Amino acid sequence: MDLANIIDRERCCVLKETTKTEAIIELVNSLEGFNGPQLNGGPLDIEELRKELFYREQLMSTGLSLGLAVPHVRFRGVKSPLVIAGIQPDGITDYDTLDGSEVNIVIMIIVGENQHKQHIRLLSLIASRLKDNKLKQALLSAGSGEEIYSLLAGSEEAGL
Amino acid sequence: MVFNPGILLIFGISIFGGFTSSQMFKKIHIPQVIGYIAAGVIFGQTVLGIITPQVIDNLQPFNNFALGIIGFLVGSELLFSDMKKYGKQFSTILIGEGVLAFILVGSAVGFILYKVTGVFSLAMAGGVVFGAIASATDPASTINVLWEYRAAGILTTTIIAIVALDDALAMFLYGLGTSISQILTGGEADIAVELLKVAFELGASIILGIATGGLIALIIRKTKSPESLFVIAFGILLICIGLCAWLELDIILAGMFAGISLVNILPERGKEVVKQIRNISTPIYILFFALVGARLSLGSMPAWLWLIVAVYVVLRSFGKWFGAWIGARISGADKKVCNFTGMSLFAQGGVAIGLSIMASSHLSNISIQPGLSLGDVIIFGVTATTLIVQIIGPMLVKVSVKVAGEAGRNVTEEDVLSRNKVEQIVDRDATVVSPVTPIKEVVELFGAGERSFIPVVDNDNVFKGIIRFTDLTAAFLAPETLDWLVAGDFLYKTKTLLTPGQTQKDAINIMTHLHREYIPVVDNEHNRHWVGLADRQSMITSARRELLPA
Repeated sequence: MDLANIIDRERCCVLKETTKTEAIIELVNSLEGFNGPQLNGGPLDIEELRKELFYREQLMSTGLSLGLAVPHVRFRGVKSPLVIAGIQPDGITDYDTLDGSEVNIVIMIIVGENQHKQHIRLLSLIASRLKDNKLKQALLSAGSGEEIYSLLAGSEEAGL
Repeated sequence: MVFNPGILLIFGISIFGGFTSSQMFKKIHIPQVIGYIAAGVIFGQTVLGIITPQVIDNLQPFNNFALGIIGFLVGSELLFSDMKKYGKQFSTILIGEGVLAFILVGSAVGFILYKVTGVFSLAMAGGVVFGAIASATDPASTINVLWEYRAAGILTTTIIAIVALDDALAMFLYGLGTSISQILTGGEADIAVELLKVAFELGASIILGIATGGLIALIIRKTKSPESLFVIAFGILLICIGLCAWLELDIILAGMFAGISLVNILPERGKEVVKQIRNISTPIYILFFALVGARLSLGSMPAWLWLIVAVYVVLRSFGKWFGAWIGARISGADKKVCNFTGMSLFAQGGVAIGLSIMASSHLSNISIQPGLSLGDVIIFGVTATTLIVQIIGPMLVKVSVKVAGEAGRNVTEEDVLSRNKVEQIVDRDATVVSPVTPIKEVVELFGAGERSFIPVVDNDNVFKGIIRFTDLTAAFLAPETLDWLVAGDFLYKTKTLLTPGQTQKDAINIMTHLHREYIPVVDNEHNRHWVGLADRQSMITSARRELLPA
């Protein structure tokens, strides 16, 4: 699974928002006008995607541990996995994580409606990558989306 | 403008009229076949005259087709295993009822004809032909009643065997009778030649029928699609019927042997073919019997002929009943076979009318009085008696199987499934999970159960979808994710749902089509309130349990 092709370079960013809801909305809104090959026909229905993501958060928070959150959803608007990432160096305190920590790294995973395997593999891959403290620190000090993308996508080659 | 309806309009009027009238008759508990004939009488020469003799002549190919299909369906009821078991009974009953009807009717009608004409040879000839025709029983209407009342048992088997076989006996006696008549009335027929002709006709029909059934069995042995099964069988059967019509062989007999050989060579798949052909047979039956009714012209019969009609009906009925009783007693048959077989054999139809039409063409040159030939007497007599015995015959078949306790016993698994509703077997305690159930718990539930999916139902009891075990397998390879995931992450929004009011037959059809063993049941497609799980095996088991003898 090649993260470099799955992560959308232009939609990795340093987040402005510092609450869970606003941070998720900021990431979803960045997909406005998205026109990548992952789409399943027409443009993304941003409103629907937002609803699905928040419905999922209602079931169980996607905040994991050690500052990582992975809002994820299976969505009929895409046919292949799409990942975007946001960094909040100041921390999001209300994310409700498994270990109670604040969230600095939000990686959003959107997969096709029937892509159960890809869904789980991406979750597992991202979680295991971000267990690496060096990568985490590098991400937290990244100043641009481009840098965040390079760190996440390049970590595979770098053996991180 | 002269009213001259086309064939298609005649078909439509006859089928729709026949059906409507049969429904009215059904309400007063009279077998439907009488309704079909009554519609024909109304549209035919007796009342409205819409279906004229010319139209009926033009429809001969259709009649051939219907006789072939009827023969096939009749033959398919006869399994050699049954024949072997009841063989002795069948042959003595067959000979008893056929021969006694032949002797009684033949001598009485001959006597009346002698009194009317004073010519012994002519009276004898008429008597022999009437007698031979009297020995025939109509398999179509008799078996139609047995099907309608879902009869099964030793009496039903005996009736089916006799009606399937006594056309052959009737044809043989008829062949013998017409030859004797023609010899007696100065015709040129040589009895040996006529007998040979009849033997050839019977033999060739039987061989063609067996070949037809064998060929169908051979081809369908490897055919998988039910549609192809039907088309192949139907096509070959039509070829058989067409060949019979062309070679002037007996269509009913050939169709019958096609049915017999098919179900005995290939019982399972053969029955599937029979079922499909039976499915299309209703309009054919209606039309066939409506045309039988239309052929009758009740108003134009000379008065003394009614005496022949009365004597024929009474003595034929008595002959069949008493002859069957004697035959059954000799063979040591069950008491209900002795008492009820004969009275179930009164119906007469296509074969008798067919034989009378053949006789009328053979004997049309023998004049009884000005404007009335022996052929006319036969055709009038047989058509009138047909109407009468077609009213009392099927009713007595119904009474016989009911009194003998054999009605309603031939209920199939499919009948039970068509009647039963999904709500009767729905498992309301089936394990369900909520969208927020941790996936670890879901995995444990899969481990404890045997089903390949678990329904997901929310707090408002609304069905959200299912979790398929196959979708979970990826999570087993990444066990750390099991802590972060919930049932909602694996939700599969299935569109295949059942509602409690659907029949179990529909449910099983859907399951078969989709290769599923279980389907979720919701209150309705709109609200999707959870009801339970429908399980294919439970439906089949409960249907089979219902079919077990009490």
